[in-house]
Amino acid sequence: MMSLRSSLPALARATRAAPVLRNPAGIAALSTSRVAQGMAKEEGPIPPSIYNRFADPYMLEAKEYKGSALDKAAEVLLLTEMFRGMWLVLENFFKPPYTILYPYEKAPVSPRFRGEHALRRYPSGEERCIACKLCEAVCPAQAITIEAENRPDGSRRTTRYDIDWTKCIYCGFCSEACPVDAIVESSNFEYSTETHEELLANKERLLANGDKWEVQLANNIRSEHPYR
Amino acid sequence: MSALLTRLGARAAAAALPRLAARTAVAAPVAAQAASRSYALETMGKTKTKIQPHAIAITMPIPEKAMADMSDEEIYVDAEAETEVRNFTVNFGPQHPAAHGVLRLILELKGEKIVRADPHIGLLHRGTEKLIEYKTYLQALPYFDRLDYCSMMCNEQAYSLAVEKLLNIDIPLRAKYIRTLFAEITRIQNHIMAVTTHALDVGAFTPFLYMFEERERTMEFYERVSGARMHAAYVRPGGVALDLPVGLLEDIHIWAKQFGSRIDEMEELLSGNRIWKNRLIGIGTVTAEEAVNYSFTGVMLRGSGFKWDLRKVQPYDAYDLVEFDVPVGRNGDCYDRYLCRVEEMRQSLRIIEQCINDMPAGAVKVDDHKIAPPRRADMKESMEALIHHFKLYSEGYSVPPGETYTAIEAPKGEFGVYLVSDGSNKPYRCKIRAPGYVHLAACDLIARDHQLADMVAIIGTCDIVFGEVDR
Amino acid sequence: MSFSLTRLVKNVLQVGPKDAWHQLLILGEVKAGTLIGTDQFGNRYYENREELFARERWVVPASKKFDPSEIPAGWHTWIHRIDARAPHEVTDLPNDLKWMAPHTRNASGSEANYKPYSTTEPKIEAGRPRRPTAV
Repeated sequence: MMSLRSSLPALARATRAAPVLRNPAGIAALSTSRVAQGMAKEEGPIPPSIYNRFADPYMLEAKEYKGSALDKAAEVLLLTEMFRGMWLVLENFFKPPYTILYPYEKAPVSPRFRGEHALRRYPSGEERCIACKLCEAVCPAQAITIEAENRPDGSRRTTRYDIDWTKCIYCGFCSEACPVDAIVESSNFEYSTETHEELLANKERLLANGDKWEVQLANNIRSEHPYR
Repeated sequence: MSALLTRLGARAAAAALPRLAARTAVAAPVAAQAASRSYALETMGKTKTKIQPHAIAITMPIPEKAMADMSDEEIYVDAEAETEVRNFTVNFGPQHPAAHGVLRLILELKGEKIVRADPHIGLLHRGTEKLIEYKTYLQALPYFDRLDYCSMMCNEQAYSLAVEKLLNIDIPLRAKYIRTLFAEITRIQNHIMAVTTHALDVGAFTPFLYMFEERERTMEFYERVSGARMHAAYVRPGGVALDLPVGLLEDIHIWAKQFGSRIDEMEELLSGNRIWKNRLIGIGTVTAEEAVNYSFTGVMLRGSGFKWDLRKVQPYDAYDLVEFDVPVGRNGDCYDRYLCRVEEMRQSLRIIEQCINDMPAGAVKVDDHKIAPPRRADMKESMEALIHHFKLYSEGYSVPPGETYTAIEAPKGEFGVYLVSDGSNKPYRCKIRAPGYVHLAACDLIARDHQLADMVAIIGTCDIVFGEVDR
Repeated sequence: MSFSLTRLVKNVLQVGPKDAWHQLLILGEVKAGTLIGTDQFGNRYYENREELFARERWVVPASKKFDPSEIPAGWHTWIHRIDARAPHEVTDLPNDLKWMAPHTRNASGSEANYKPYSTTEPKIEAGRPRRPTAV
């Protein structure tokens, strides 16, 4: 056991301090970057760490050691590590950027995304919300206000359904609690406003949202139903 | 290629201009310096000195008008008292970009040396602990995302474990693995933030830009699993909110495979770099004894060589089922802590890989519908499930009376939740033990006798996030 | 390099000078791909699987006044990869129910913006200050 442990620093030097050994081909001699390493796709599973620093804190110093005094002097005078870093930056300069042209190209969003609220309807056009007030009860920020009345036909519906989007913390508890999938959080996040008052949504605004986004909302709920 | 050429051309032109301007402007400040020095020599010889208004910026300047009304005794003060140099006090933050949010530090300086550092907190105080007393156990959960907003799911995990402890329940194995998986993704996310903004503070911009691409990916995983990029509300008492979507584990695997070489890339830029080393080695040294005395936890403790990791010493969730090492530093300076963080990221990758490989099938919530909501399909068909659903989302569940202190190894250190239940559906008291608060309290200990410029390195290495410090 | 000269020339040749000029004015870049569809505002949706991840689907707006909120729900689903299918390919969900509203862009900042109002009768009767009578 002891002999193994004492050989660990040497092993670590071989794998960490000199990436040349890992991938001697071409440009990789000077870099550890992902492109130089032939992209990660070809790499195997992550090798388990060969050194246990819990047992052998010597490892943190292994990094300091860089060979003979001549090597050390050459490194200090020739700014080796600086140029290695700059080479890496230069490599990245020629790589395709990670950025996307936002309003024209958009990042992937999952069906679970919690954005702007909407009230949904049944296919017949009847609004789903039955004013059970479960969302009002569960809302941690108390952003929802509901008032309800019986309609002439005897069904119970809301007369007021207000969400204060400036209070809302977008936790998604309301849509989780809703027994009829009436209140949902859509995948829309582009509803920023210029004034505060535009974020005080009332029932008609929420229903209009639902009418506008129904194609997406139905899609989201259907793709999520195996998980719920 | 064309963009490169134009950029180079523009840079060369821009660089040439100020150099010319600077050369002409050198003469003036030198002359001013010489004048002030001759004045100082002249006055030092005398036993009594006349107060020069505005001569010393530290003392309160007396306006000329007031001096006209003063007697000679008042004007001529003791030379010793006059030449005594008082410490300069500067206000570091709350607007300073290196103050990591809203830290206000009062620094007493002797020249450029810090003689006292006095952190002022409370600018982000929201009263979370008090608010939680008025929320049901479920409603209190989203508040934990907002504590340490760089490691969201770890906070939720601590709270959920505390509630589970009071409820005396055990969660399904799959939920444990999911929690462990996401706790480690969170750890990587947090350490990316900690290390690269630390580097940014001491002057290295590039790693920040490169690593935040990866952080973006981890936030994407958050979004896919919970629906929100940061404020997840995903880890719940009794399991996790939803099962992992199909394909997520594979994507995490693909990401984790390439992430190791991104760490290499960052290390290439930082670990060997002489500027980075000069700024960190020997800075903010904390001995193991001091670290224990000041109740440090996490990397701040391990960087000093103290072997302590809650994932090892009191494993929670699936940490006793995965294999990983805990890096321990030796010198207790900023550089060791940096190395520890980097190594922890690699170890997190190991854990992620094991979680993906060992992820069992099965439920992700306890099947006690008094605690976790029933499946939606059941709720539509079974009256009992519907009643459970309504009870859970309106009244919540009652927790047996008792108290617990449950702590986890959050990326920053020991994040503990002290929860007292009086048997009702709301916590009686919830005290949050935030690691950043403790580390900030030792700010004076660490920073004393350092240069002013080292302060940012020390704040960076403490990895302070004000959401949890101020609560 | 996303903006390389060869790429630019290749894409310009592919899409033609008129469209290339339009794209340069709005996107600041010329991209070439297959046209998947057009929405009610005339925004065109393209896809090119050879582009980098997250850049393979994009919209070429009809005018410079484009706002991302005017992407209709179906196309929003497509461009955010919530669904791999374009809206006209989704046939198993109703998309023409008569209560469904046409898409509108975020009206904030314009005259048509949303103004909150109460949807119920006020429960209190507001006091009306009495006019002081002349003495």
